[in-house]
Amino acid sequence: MGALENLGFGFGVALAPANLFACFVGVLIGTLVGILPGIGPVGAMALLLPSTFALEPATALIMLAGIYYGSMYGGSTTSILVNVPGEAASVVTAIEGYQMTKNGRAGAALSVSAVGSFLAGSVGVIGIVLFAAWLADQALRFGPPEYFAMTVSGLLLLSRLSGGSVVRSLVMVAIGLALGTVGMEPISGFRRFTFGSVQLSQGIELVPVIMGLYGVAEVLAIAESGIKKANIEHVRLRELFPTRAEWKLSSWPIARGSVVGFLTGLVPGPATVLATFVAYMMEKKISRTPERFGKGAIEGVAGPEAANNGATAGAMVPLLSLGIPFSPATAILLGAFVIHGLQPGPLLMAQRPDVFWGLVASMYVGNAMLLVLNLPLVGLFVSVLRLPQHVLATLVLLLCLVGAYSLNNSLLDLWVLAASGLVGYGLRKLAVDPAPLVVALVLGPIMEKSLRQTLFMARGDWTDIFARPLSVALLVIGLAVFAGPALVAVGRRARGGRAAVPEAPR
Amino acid sequence: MERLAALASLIAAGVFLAGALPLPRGVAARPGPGFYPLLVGVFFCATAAGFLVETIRRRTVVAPVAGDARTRVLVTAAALVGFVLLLPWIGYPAATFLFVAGMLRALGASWLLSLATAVAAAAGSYYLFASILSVPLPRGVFLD
Repeated sequence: MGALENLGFGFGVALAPANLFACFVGVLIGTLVGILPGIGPVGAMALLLPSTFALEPATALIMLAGIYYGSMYGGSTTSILVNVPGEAASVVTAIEGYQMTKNGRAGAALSVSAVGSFLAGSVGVIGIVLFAAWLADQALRFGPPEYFAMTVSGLLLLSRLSGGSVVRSLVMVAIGLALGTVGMEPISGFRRFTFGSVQLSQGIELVPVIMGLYGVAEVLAIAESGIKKANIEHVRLRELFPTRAEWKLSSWPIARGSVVGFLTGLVPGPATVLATFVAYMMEKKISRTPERFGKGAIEGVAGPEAANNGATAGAMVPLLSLGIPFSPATAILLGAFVIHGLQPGPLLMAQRPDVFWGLVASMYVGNAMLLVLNLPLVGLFVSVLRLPQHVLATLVLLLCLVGAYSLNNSLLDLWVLAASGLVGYGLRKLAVDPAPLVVALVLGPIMEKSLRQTLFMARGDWTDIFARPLSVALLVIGLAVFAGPALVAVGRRARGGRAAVPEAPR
Repeated sequence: MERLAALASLIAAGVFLAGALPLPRGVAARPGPGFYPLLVGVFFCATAAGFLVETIRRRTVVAPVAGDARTRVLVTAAALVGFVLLLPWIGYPAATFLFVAGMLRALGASWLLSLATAVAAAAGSYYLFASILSVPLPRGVFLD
């Protein structure tokens, strides 16, 4: 059992005092940003990335990953108690969770969601061990054509699954790819679009773009909506225990949610958000008493809450074994790898087992900490919402500014931050998800390099990409999902069925 | 508003493509630095054009932001840009003080809360970042 031994080694790394502390800090910050509507996990990870420069690579990644999955816990807490989802992956939880609060079962909802998240996190770790090792093995056989096909497919999937208008998502992809060409190009070092600036020749920094699109844009949205006072329910500790019947109702949804979440996480797209919707719909569909949904059905909390944690684990798989991030959060983790001189991908497991297995094991440790941290301290965390919102918004904005500046001590990054923030606010107004832009900015250079290598290897023959079964398969999957809904609609119209094509949800 | 965004992205796409054209493209077997930007530029133009067509064919109304809400957004945006503009001149502590005080006051905090938070934020964050984390924040004309 090589995997078990390795995982044991990983626990050794994760339980080292420095890493244990980093994990604790990460999940604590994650819980807080999950609760606060002003800043989500992506913004917080971008914000803290510069402060991890001095840490060991494994320690830095353990902390950043902790923020990512920790936010899934915090987000659900406010969804359940005050009907204010702290971040997008907890929107679904609010449907049943807040109803349960109204029925006086807030404590049960919180416990079930925490336990569900923990179990899903554990399933996710097992999933990573099984999948990532296998995928990394396969990936050793990937050549440039496969990498090219994968980036193209990934971006197509992402723009289809991001919701809203596909054309707009594709414009986001185009902007991201265009920004990705700025600076020294990956093969010969030729400077493009730098206008003679030394700083621009390093390319456009990912972190200020993300901080702007997520952090600054959110602050502008808070400024727009004005200052509201949250109405906070009080939860007593003895109400925390679900009844035997509630446990029974939740156990299968948790199991199903974990698996569905993990699988959704593997697919490029807004995995955590999508996973919660899929899990909720599934529970509602297979329930023998669907009429209870919408009135505080505990399954509708257990399933989605397990699913969003499962998805955070699933999303780590393509990053760790292929070195390709398909979501803004994993894009930041990639940034952290690169800053520490590491390249995630098929060779990571062999070259830096301490980082790979330490990170995986720390996700298990972190989930256990979150369980202990969240249940007794729920009241304390929720009281964070009592902080005056204008103070919070101002300080978040200030932190974005200092954080972006401290990356390279450059004013250019501040201008990138400000521009991204204004654009991000505009995108919210247009109901466009900025995730494809972020991911395209990261994948662009990988895509260019693999495309040019492919053409070089094939002596300029485009068709070589289609001569390799693996790259063809990857492209076909991407195209099928991308064009699928449109084709189904055309087919339905041709058969004279209902011509009304449902618009993608916004 | 939507059409404006579409138009802006089309213009950006055009500018990008124009910038990509003069770059050396190389030959198919050995693509140069201008090869991939050209593809991206064409894709950018195509999608932006599609976006424009979509906004013309199907008009969705973006709820206008008016009145106080608009003022608050504009003030926040101005504080952000103002901070970046002033930072190299007056230095981090002074810029932070003005930024925090101005933004809080504009968002409806009392003078007392605004000024107190601004002093605390400027001093606290300067100490934390410049002294403890040794980020070389600009000190500006007052401290130098």
